[in-house]
Amino acid sequence: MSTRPSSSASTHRPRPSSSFTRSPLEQLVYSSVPSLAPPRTHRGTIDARSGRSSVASSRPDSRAEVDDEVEKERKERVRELMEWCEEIMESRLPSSAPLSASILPDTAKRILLQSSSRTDGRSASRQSSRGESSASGSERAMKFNGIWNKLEKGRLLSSPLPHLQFLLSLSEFNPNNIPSKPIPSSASSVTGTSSSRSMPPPPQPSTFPSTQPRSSRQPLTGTASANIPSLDFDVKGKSKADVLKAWRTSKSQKPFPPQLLLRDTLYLLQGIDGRYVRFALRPPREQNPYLTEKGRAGEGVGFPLGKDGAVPSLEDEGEEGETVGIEIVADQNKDGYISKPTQIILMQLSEMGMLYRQVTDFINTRQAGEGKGGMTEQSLCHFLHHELSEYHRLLAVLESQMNQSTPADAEQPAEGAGLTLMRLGLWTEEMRLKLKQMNLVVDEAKKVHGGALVSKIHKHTNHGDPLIRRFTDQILEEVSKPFFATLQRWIFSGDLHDPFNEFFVQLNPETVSLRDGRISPAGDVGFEGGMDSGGGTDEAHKVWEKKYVFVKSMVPGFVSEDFGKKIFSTGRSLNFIRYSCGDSDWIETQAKLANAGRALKYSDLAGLERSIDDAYSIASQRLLEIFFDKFVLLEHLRALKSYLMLGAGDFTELLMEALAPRLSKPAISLYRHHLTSDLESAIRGSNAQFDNPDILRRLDARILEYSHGETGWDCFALEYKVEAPLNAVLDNKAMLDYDRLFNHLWRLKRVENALTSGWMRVTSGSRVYEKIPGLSNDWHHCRIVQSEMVHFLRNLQAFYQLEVIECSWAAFIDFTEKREGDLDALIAAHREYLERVVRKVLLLSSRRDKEEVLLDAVRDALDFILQFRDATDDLYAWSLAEATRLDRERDAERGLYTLPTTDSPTLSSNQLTSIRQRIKTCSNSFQDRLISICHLAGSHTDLDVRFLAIRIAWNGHYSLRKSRSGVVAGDKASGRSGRG
Amino acid sequence: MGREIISLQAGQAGNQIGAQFWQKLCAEHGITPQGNLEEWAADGSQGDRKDVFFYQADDEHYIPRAILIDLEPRVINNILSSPFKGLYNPENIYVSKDGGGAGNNWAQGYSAGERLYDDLIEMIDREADGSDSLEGFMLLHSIAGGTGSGLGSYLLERLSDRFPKKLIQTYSVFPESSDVVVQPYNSLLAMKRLVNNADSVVVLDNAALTRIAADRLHVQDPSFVQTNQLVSTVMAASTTTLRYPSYMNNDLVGIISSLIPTPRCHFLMTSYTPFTGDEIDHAKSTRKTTTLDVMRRLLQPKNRMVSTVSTKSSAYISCLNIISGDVDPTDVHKSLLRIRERQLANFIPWGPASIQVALTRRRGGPAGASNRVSGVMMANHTSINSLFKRMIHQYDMLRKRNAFLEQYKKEEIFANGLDEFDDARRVVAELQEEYVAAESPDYIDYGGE
Repeated sequence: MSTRPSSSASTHRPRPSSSFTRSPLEQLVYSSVPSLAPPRTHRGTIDARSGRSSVASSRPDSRAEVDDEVEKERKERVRELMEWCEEIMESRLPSSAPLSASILPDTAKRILLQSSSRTDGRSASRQSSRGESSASGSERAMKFNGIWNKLEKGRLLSSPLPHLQFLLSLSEFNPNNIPSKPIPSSASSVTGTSSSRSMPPPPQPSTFPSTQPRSSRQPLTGTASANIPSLDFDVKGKSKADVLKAWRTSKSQKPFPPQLLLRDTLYLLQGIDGRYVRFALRPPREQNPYLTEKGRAGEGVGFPLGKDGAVPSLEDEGEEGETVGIEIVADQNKDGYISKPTQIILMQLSEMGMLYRQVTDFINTRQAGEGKGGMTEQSLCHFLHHELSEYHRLLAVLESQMNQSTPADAEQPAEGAGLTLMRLGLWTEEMRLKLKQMNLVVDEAKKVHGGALVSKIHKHTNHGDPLIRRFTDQILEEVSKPFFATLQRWIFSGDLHDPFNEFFVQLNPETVSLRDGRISPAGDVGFEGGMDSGGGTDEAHKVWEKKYVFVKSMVPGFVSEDFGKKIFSTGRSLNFIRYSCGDSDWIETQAKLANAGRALKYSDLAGLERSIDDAYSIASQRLLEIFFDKFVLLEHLRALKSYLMLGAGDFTELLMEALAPRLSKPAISLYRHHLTSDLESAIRGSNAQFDNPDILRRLDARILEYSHGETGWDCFALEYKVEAPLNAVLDNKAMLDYDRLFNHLWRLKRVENALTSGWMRVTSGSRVYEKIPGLSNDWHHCRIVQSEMVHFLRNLQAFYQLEVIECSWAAFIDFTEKREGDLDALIAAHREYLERVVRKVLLLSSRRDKEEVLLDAVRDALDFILQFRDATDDLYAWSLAEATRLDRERDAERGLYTLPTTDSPTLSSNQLTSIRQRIKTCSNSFQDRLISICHLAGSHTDLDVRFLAIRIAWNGHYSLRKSRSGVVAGDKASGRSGRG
Repeated sequence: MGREIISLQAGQAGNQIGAQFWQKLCAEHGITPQGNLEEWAADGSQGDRKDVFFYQADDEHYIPRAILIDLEPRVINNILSSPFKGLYNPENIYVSKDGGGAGNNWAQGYSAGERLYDDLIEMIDREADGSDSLEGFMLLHSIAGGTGSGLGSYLLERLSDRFPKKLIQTYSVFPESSDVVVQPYNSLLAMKRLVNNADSVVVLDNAALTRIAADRLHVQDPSFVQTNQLVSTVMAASTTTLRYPSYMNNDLVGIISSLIPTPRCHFLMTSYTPFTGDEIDHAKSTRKTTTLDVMRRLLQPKNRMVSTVSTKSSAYISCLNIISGDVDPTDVHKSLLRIRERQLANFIPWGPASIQVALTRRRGGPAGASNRVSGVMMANHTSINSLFKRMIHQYDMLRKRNAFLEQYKKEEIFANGLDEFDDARRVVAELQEEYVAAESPDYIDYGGE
């Protein structure tokens, strides 16, 4: 029974039943099912064989009495069995022509052997649970061999071929089915064990040509149905359903008129409650948890949405009033019963109705203006509308079909025409999938919008079902239209047209006031702001950096994040060109972009990438060009390097020279107009005069805030003014860094100046006082210490100039010459350049808490140099005074008139002692500080700073390591003090 | 503008060198022999400072801040018949009317200086007044002969008197032993002034110049033009940082103060590499040089323009490399590390000392001008004492025999005896001792009482 008897096979085969006599077949039956054999013949084997068949228990196994009735029953069964055997042989046998009698037994044996290994594993549990002996294949093959031998030896068969064929076909049976087959009368066992594998053939296969695809899609429609007994049409009309039907008929229960059901179903499909069947709403959970349980159990209500009817996620999250299934409100007693399979079909069909309801709900709420709205949603609604009208059309067709079938007999609809529930299910199958997919999308659309929604839908394009994949593509094509429209505007005109915030580039809510590059009068006006800073100097940077934000979650799935960044940057560049760089640039840019622009759509992703790449490179290049060529960014940076980092030595020196007398005074006596006029003359006197007037215009002198007692040196600052759009690169932070650099370098320069003028006195000017006795040692000592200071300072400066500024600049220039990347890359490169310079010039350590330890030490050392300078100046003055005094003494000795000396030798010698003391203190402090600088720099995290230590301690005068140098320093200090 | 330097060129050698020097400077700054700017230099984009060595006349012509002095007309006449005759200010050229020269006699030159004091000081004052903030003077001379040595000595004394706060740097050509018979006298007497009255002396040893010229040019007997080209190249190179200002080394005092820790030890030796056809006529062309090559060669004694005898304890007191051309700043770092690793240079034990490097990048220049890496070293090295030792030795040899003293006694300065010789010898000997002392750690207490 498990093999499907194919009618075509049986037609062109001679019917073998007439060609053999009954007795050999009977023999065969006995030998294959020994329990049925007459008691005499099977007596020896009954023990072993009992229990192999499920019917064995039904026959009397007592050997003692052989009752007539029993014998009759046995014969009856044998007859039945023989009929069945005949049927088998008639129905389906491998074509016998090529198989000779000699080969057949071997084939049978082989099949038995093979089948065992296949089926045993699968059916072992079932067999054992039924208490059957599981016969392995070899055992059965042996049994077959025995039968065959008996047949052959006894020459029982006149023509062995048909019998052999029978045996062969027997051997191909699944042994599990064998026992049930011989008892066709017990119908219950047939339907009870039938599984989806042993589906009965449909009664009229030819009338349902589309059955195959349906059953092949079975797993998709809902796995729950696998467990629900499907309607069974038995070949012989002996199915349980038939029995039930018969029983119901006998109980005068007529089936519910199908056309009524059909009509209701069509209502249901439109999401409308039918008269007899309507949607069940989820009752409030607290009030009736039982129903929920029931729904979960899948007993008639609840959609087969999850495996085994369990849909916990949906049910747990479900809101009250949600459609959870259908309920049949028809009075079954009055109108007739609705069989369970029919209910199931109804339920399955009504799922579409629910989906339809949800989709329509969604459309309605969106159109009513609820939700966030948005272009993507609108286009989704549009698409859904379109699809639903398709659905409506289908329903109309179905309805007309139903109207055709209505006049026909309710019980037996005309074949090939009209509508049944089954056909309804079949014909709406595709639409159901689509509706499901739409519902999924709708669910997602409730949670996310815009790019994120597109992204979510895009995920479904990886679906395994080509139908769904195609459908999703269609959805996406439609839904992504607004996205692409926005994208196109963004990357080709730098315009963000996104009223519903659906794009992955969004206007930064913090800086809405900056929209369109409008400069708001920010309160960023510092000290003396009205005069030297135009206010809002940071705007361009903010516009560039903050005007738009990149929303990662809104990037559609088909756009990778890198690519999204590219898009982001492209539009940003264009936008910046457009709003911050002046109109003419925009026009030029647009002309360039015009060639690159082309329609963007979802189906042409490769073209999209190309277009975006083109637009990206054009926009970025253009923006960089604007910065480099129109706004001469490099000139500004060079100017910053020349003037604020003191690269223009002649300018710096003139400025220093002009300012020095002013800056030595207290800060309070400084006037800005003096400073600016000095700055002016420094510019005019140096090569700066040849610089671009626009650059010089930006240079300004500034007085920082000062506290009491500070001199002009402490609060003077040179300023370089930048405005939009230059300050996109040179933002406030950068300018702050430049200020810090200037401050430090300027201080260094000042000390250098002090030292060289000191050198002029101490070393070059030595001729003046060389003759004074007792001082040469002091001076020699001063010079040695001074040379140490000069060495330190010059090495520090050389380090700054070469290792830091020039090297960083060279690296930066390398970048700018390539002109790669976008403005972000340029900003980053400049920032890196500046940070590198700041870090190394200020000798910042990477350790947070000790960041400025080394810088402080250097500053201390510089202070000591200045103090030392003052002390040596005093020594110089004293020397001059002493020289004058000695001259007078000499003159007096020679009798010349001299002015009376005011200071006595003792007083002056006291002065000398204190001066010596000061010089000694300063020298020692400086040397100590220098040693610690060497240590700090020598163990600095920055390798370049370590190199500074190496430079300073080049000839080993200072040790880089602490342990040894401590001793050396001590030695030196004590040695010095001893000599001083 | 500021930091002007006035050049004084005295005597035959001084004027020859000076002529070459100005020629070179003109080429670098794009100034034609007539004092006009070349086309490529006219836009002021080179970042150079012409005003250090030139000033502009009313008609915008560039005129060197140079004073040409000689007691015999030959060299100056040569200059005045050269294409550069229109460059100099004719008022700044002094040629002795009698044209007799100093007869290779220091005393004659010195006396001539005294005689000509008014004329000379008038020129110098005028130049000094013409500058905004005069940084100092540069004297080009040889110390072997009469004019450069004697007149130059006189000038040094007067300058340091008259401009005590200005730097005086000299480029002094030290003689080969065979040049002039009385050169030991002349040298020693000039040396006293170089020690006492100059702030920095760049020593250029004729012997070394000849040797380098021979090495570089494969000329056994190089012409004066060629050796002078060597000198002028070094001069131009060592003043690049003054003429092309950058972050540091923009003024003479800055350079000198780092090189000269104590007042007497101010005798600098120089090296230059590579000499090529750009600088010297008929020089070998050199393959591409790297920064490391240049810096290493600068430290080699054979490239020094002074012939000295180094001992084991000879050491650099200080050292400054000025590298110009297309230099990658990172190369300097690597080269320095390499040099330190190999210990190519010895430094004094009593204080910190290191090789300092200054980069100058001449911008602009005529189209197609090569911007090859080249370098000049200015170093204060203790081995220079051997030069002084030799000088004293030669003097002693001559003085022992009291040879050739008659010509000296004729002049006023020696009228009262030859104390001046003894004093000069004492000064030079002291200097030599100090340089030797600077090789030991005890130099810290040198000269203690």
